Amino acid sequence: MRFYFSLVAALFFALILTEGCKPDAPGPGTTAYKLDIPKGLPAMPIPTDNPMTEEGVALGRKLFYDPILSGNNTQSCASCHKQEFAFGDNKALSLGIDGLPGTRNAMPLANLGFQRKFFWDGGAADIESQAIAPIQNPVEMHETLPNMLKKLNASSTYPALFEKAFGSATITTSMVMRALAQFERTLISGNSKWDKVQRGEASLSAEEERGKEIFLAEDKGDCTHCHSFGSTFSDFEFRNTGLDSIAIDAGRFLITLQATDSGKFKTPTLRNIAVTGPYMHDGRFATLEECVDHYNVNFKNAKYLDGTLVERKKGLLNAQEKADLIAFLHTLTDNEFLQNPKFAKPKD
Amino acid sequence: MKMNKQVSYSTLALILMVVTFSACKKEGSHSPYSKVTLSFENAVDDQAIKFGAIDYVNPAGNQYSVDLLKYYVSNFAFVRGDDSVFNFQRYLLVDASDSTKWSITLDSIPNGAFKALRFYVGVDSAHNHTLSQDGALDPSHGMIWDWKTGYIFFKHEGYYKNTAGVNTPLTQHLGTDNGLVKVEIPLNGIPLDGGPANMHIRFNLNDAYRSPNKFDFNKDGFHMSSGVGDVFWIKDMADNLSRSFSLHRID
Repeated sequence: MRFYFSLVAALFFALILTEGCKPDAPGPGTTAYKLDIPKGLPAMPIPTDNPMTEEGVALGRKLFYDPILSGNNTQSCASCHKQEFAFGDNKALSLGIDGLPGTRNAMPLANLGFQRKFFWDGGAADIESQAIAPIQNPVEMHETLPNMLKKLNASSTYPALFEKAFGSATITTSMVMRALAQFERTLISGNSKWDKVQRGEASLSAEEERGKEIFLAEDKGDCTHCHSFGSTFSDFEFRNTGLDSIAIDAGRFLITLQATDSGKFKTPTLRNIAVTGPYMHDGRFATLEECVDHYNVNFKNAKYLDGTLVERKKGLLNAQEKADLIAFLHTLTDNEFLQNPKFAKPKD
Repeated sequence: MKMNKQVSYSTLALILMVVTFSACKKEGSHSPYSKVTLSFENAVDDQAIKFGAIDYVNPAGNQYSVDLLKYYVSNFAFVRGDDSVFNFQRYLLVDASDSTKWSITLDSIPNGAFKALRFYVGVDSAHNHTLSQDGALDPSHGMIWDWKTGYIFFKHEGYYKNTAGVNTPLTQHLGTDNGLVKVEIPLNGIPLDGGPANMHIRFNLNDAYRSPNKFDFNKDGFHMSSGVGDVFWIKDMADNLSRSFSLHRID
């Protein structure tokens, strides 16, 4: 009896000790989240240190809508990223918790998982890292990370939800970042009229069809150099589009410190563009007509103006063609995305 | 017979335990491996750091204070006399105001005579482009830029007296991949023989402002590694910091 005991005890010890040698154990029994990517959109890369789980996405969604993340508990991410506007804001510059405006237009949040750099100037290197900037920014949610963690750890609901999602009830900043990023990666828009046309489920009107041709034609709209046609409707690169002859906001230059990046901003997707005004990095244009007019006649000869615009002749589009182009842009509105209950504020 | 069987099972159990233990940890009274604790102790020349008072004078002659002094040290390597290198991808955030945050223990260094200790002040590029990390790299430690993803490698804040004698905010934030500081401290054949050792590393804040670039705070009192005016400073400051650490003593 005694020798069996020794053997079992030794095996038991061996098991415990070898477990101790392994790297961090994976999370507890989480359920893998299956991303629903409509046909026509690319595959989405998921970082290996933040796999998508049902528990993580649900937690991220709850956090996204919870004002607990702001300094005085009055604003959530959703205060400026509203589903009805494709998770953008209908104000040129949103106001933070102290009533102060930022300097740039709140970006819509559709299809972030296909993008590599975040913010208008690309300063955030991944979705996870992006999430804490608005929380800490004094003109946005104006909270400190230690205080945010204190509130979350003291809450009656969050520790258990974090334990389910990440295997520990002691909440860290990284867990908050990962949960928010997981939810944001689910915000996929690919069921617009345009997508349905691609799948043979709908057809463009004559006006929309003409608008599509103008979008593509180099001697007309020539939009597709930057707003890649068909899938993501952006190459997500950074360009100076001649909004000002001398850039008021240095944009990407503030990140790279390269003179050639002066006044450059990220090319936004055109998906849901009809509902994401005001437009441009500072919300200076209220309507799509003003945007089209900018690229048709109003762009200025900035020093680092994008090459496509340097070569572009002014006034290529007449009134009818502008209207047709805008009609096509409206086919990129995805009402299923704007109303998807999975993205709405969760019921407690 | 029964006796023999019992012995053999006990022996087996013992062997299993020994094997398991040695798979995990390699220590013991005559271990072939050593455990080294590095303690980063902070000073201004030969003065210990007192926070808040404009008590110090930098090599350019500016009077200044230390209200905050924090920096990352990382990726430690012990170089043995035979040129074999033992690496530790570890991160320590030293906070000069909190002595519980000055040390890191590195285990299982094969014994031998060592010629150098290497480490970096800062965070390597592979870990400098995401903030979603835990432990020393947790972004809530106040050592990040969130609008331009990256870690602040070194942070000294306080005041200095400007040429008009006015107390002026002093801000020295070093970061970006170009600002990573490589430090090599000669160990001159110091033997590690299986016992624990505590290496006291001295960081002299005045050395950060001394050589090869003597910084005058009237000109270089405000740097956040984020503007055009910081580009050359980042390299110069990193250069100075690489010469600011020395081995003070071992016990």
